[in-house]
Amino acid sequence: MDPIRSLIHCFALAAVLLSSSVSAQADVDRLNTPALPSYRADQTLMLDIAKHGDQLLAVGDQGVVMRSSDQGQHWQQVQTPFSVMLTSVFFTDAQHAWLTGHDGLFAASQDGGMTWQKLLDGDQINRLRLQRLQAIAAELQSQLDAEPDNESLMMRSDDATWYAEDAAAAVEEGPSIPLLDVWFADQQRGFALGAYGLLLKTDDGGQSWAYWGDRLDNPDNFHLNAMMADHRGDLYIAGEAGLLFRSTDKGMHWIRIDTPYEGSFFSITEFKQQLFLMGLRGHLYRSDDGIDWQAVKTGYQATLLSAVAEADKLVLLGQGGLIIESADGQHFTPLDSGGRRSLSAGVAVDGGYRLVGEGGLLSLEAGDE
Amino acid sequence: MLLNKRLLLVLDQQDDISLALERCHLIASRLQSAVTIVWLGDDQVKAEQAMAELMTDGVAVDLRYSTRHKLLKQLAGLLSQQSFGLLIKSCDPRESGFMTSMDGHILRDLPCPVLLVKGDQLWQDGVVMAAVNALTHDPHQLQLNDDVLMVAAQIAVVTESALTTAVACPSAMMGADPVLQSENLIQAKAQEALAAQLSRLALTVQASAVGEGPVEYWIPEAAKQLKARLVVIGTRARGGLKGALIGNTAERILSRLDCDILVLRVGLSDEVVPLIK
Amino acid sequence: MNKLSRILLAPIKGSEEFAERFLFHRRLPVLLVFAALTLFLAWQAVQIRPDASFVKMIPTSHPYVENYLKNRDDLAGLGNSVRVAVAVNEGDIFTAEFQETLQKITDELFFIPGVDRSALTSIWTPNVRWTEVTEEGFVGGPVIPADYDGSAASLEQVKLNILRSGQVGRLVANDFRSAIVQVPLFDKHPDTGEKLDYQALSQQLETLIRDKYQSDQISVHITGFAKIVGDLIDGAAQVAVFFGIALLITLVLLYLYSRSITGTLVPLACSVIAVIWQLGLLKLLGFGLDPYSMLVPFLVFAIAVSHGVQIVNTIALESARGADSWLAARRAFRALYIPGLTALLSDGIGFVTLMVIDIRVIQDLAIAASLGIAVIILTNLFLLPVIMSLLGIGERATQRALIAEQKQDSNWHRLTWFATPTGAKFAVVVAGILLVGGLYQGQKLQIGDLDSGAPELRADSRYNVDNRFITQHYSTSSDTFVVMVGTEKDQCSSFNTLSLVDRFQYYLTNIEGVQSSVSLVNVSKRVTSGLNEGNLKWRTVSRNQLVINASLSYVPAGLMNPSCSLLPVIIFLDDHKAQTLQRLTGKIEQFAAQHDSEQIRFEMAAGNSGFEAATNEVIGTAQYQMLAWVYAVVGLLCLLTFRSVKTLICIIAPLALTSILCQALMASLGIGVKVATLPVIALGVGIGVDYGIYIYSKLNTYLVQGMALPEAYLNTLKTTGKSVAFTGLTLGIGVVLWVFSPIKFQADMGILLTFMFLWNMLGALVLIPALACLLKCGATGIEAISTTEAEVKDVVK
Repeated sequence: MDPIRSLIHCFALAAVLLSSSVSAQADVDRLNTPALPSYRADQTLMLDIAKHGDQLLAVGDQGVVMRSSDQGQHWQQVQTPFSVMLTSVFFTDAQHAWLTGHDGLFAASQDGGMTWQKLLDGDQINRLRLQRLQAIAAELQSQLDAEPDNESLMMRSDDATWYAEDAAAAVEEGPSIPLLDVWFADQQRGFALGAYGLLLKTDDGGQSWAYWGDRLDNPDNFHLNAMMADHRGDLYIAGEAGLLFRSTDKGMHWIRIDTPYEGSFFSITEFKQQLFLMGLRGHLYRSDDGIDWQAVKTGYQATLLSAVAEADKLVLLGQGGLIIESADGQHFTPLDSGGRRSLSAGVAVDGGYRLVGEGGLLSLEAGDE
Repeated sequence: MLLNKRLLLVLDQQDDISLALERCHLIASRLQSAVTIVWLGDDQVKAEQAMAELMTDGVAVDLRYSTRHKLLKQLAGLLSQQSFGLLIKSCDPRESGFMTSMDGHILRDLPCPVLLVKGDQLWQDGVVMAAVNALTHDPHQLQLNDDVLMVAAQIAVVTESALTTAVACPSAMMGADPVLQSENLIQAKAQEALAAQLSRLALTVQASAVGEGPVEYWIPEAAKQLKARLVVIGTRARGGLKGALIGNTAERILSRLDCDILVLRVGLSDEVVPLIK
Repeated sequence: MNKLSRILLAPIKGSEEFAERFLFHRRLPVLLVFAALTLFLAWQAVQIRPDASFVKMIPTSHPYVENYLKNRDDLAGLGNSVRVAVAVNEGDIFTAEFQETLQKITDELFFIPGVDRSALTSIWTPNVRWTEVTEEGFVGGPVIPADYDGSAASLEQVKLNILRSGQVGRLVANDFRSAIVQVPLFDKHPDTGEKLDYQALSQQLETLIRDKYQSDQISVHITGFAKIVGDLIDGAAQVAVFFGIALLITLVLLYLYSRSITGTLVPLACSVIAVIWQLGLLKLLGFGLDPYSMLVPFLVFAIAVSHGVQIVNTIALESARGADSWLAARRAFRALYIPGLTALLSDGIGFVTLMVIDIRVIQDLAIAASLGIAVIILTNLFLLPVIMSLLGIGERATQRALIAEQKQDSNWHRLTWFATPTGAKFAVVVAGILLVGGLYQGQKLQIGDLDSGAPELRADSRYNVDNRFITQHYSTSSDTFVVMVGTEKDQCSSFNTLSLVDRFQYYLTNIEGVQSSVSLVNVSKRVTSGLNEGNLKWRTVSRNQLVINASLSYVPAGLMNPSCSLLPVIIFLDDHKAQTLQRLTGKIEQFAAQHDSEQIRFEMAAGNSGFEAATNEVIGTAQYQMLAWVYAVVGLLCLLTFRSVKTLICIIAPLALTSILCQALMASLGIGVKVATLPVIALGVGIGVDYGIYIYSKLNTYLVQGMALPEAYLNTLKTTGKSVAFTGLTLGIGVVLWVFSPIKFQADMGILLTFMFLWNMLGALVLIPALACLLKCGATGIEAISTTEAEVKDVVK
């Protein structure tokens, strides 16, 4: 490099060093550090995509949020004040969108996804949980004091105390519990769910939250992976170890449903008024009423991660680039995703699909059969 | 006078001794000096014959015998006992393999002037040529130049010959001092130096041959041109390692000259100067 | 100035007499001594071995390399390695025959000396594993199952395992038609300490692997630094053939020019003896030949021939004046002693200055070149005249010289136009235009490699074909740049560290030219996802340290060191072009500046592209340092010899023009400045200064006699100028044929050297008189002559 350039380089470096020496830090907290803008952001690992009208939002690793206003023809990276892995995104209407991520991140946008504000993080979640569990333990303790010989009450009290201590430990550990999915009924009321049985409810658009996880019969604190509402307005939560919960009263009370599978369910969707539950190693189950489930053989063993349900087509997405579609929910045919990279979510647009996964954004045109 | 002292004549039985003998005879009779003959060999008859020839003009002769191996030692011994003015020998510059020739050893090791006889012409009315290194700055060399000129002048006077000088200039050397870069300039400089030296010694010469080339080339050329019968030359007499590596120019000239050569060595000026006076 | 020059040059001048007397006193012993030395050194020279070393190619005091050497033990396989790709020509790799072949090849490679066995990787080595997530958790195993038996079912299992191992694109091609064995090498064996023998390794790779297993069905492709070096060394035989051709051409042309058998054979023989001595001395001093200094012997030959021709030419002229062979040789010796010695000394010392460059290979080259030059003094300045004094130049040559001298209207008259004011101005103006053009074009000169693959070899050479094969079919390029992230002990897997490195890796993907990167973070992410049933939403660094620790319970070799204080980030680049590397290192420095602290440091570099980045930086500055030194030394010697600044300009200006134009030529031809090509320009100065010194010395002898410049110059041309022109043309023709060499490095050098030979010659013949005229150079040192001498001069004329 010629002498002049190297001289300028030296000065530039010196300038950077001087300006940053004050702020050099060992820890870069990804909850508070803005995502890096990148010209290759569209190739980042993406985990979820949501659609409202012509607007699309895709979220993924490193705090990357991609936005399109023309059904995914053109995308732009949106600035975000955080760089954790983002796990799900949800549109309520054209203006209001929500996302969740690791380290307990929950953020909201008021302008259709162009700007985002962090409303909740893992520390706050830990405290909420601790409060709630401590309250429950205290309540049971006082009940126990009243009835010291009630064996079942003693067991429940012990359990509650244990859970409370566990929650206290979690506070010490820091904001380490990821949120995995989010669902909103309207601009105000919604749920966020995540690892270790985490379930949170908000009634004011995310400004304040209540810990709701104790309302689920999940003694082992298995992960809660996905949440959905069906055409009747019933809410479903699918999770690890074959967990399935249903609520018929807008999420106030939940009952656990037996499923024929003990592995993880990653997604639940509705197609032609039937419910489809899918997960690890290609397991797929169908139900009319949400209570009884029948296995569906797709012929593929790859883990199913997500689904795109249209009026006349159901498309399932999975590991290793698996895309299978069906018109009747029984028989599936494969589509070519053009590679072996796993697909984690998708939406249908005019003329095809917009998918996200290991390779970032992927467009599938209607002709790609 | 230098040549008035005793003469040392070395005769090699195996060679033709007549040239050296004759020359010695001429010099001894002219100068009335005594002669010591060192005879290489054991033929007493021949040796005494030679002695007899010399004695014919009333020259005192004294005869010794020697062999090639002991010659140098013996000569050195003789020279240390008595002072000799001149050593006369016939020129035999043959070299055995890489060793220095006998003449070479004589020139290097013996502290007296040496006359190597090659020709049979009389010096009388001939040309004596003094070979001088005009462009030197070395004090030894300068002194040697003076000695050579003085002796040559002496001889010229005695034999009524013409005194001439010859100077061998080095050939042009690119990149050296500017003067040394051109032959013309070098020769001009040599002429000038020669003239200065001659005027200092108050000598006049009949002719000067100033030419280019290594000494071994030019001096014989000049001798031919000037038809010299005797060439007087100096030698640095390098011995030992230096002698082996570089050698002495005078020794190398011996084979190229056709006439007699009188070689003066460095360091004899102590004896020469008082004599000239 | 005069006094200083007199003092410094006195030894040279004083030594002439001694040397001349010594050499011509007893010629036979002198010849015998030379013959004995030649035999001895020839015996040494044939024992010389190729000696290449990876570490010698890189600048060892550059911070990047120092960092690498500091951590070398912890960075397995990131230094020197070779990749062997085994491909099927039809079908895919899931056949019993292919797997058997691959297994055998892996085993063969295991036993080749110099291979780091613990880090050898292929699907058949136990360190390559597949993992899968089930309802019960992780399962895994070696890619080739223990019960593998070559059956269809086994092969199906292998296919499945490969898919689950993440090796597609790394050890197995994207199209499943080839597989790679990654072979890391020891530059120096850790136990025995012996150096890697590149030639032996390359040969073993060829005979034991490629020749043995390549067939109609299977093809073998091999890449890696060691293979490049091996191919270059093998190519040395061809390089030698081209040397031989150049030698032959020189022989023929020299005979046609001089019409003297002795005048042809003797200088060539002495030049070849110079080369033999040089090689012999190198061997004695314990050096070997590395592929990048293969050209030094030829350079020594070329410079020796230049000087030899000058001497023979002068002998011919002296013979024409009537001297016999002995006299002619002596006079020629004396005449050319000072310019020859000065030219060679300035060459030699000029080459020694290459030692300032901190790269061993170039320092070795400096030593080899200086040795060669020193030897030329003995063989061509001393031995040659002695031999010629015995053999003589021959009747025909003498006749030719005589006729040429007497010729009145020679073509040389035309060139003397440049010694007149109009011609001089014209020449200088043209030179000025060329200078500007050259400077402008020379700005485009790039440091480092401009092409992918191995630029020393042709694009269609076997190596580059193999390299393209691997780049096309695999996702990991062979251009790796390693950033070493240093932490406090046991902190390499802490959340803070991994989170920051995660961010760093994302930062890297934003840099143009970066393909992808791999580090401990990738392992943690994948396993964390695996621990959660393969859920992609968990493929990140967990904030829970226990989860992190669980995810790192099995770490492949090379991604962290045993004391957990170092984690390398291996960056795969699209190419190793200088621009790419510069951009990358600049960006990494920025990141490091922002984030380096007591707890974590981002240090560069390792990996072949890392070394290349370091080398490019060193070469960038070294280029100018080197030229400065060479010109300073050469200039000083010229100044001392001629004692005139104007003369200095006359001699140096054409050289400088050559250097600048050479750089422009390199830029135009797409030859980058690298370790291999860096010394070329310095060597060009060495070649060219000889011409200038000879021509100007001769010119000066005429000026000193008072001739006018045009006349003096005409005489110079008829004597020295002829030799210079002849030498330049002959060597140029000899070297231009190298363009056909299969070794691109030699072909490039051929073009550059041809240009330098021809242009130096042209510059010396045209620009020296032009500048002398314009600067009104008189005879140098003429002021020192006293007035009386001047008068004498007039009288003489």
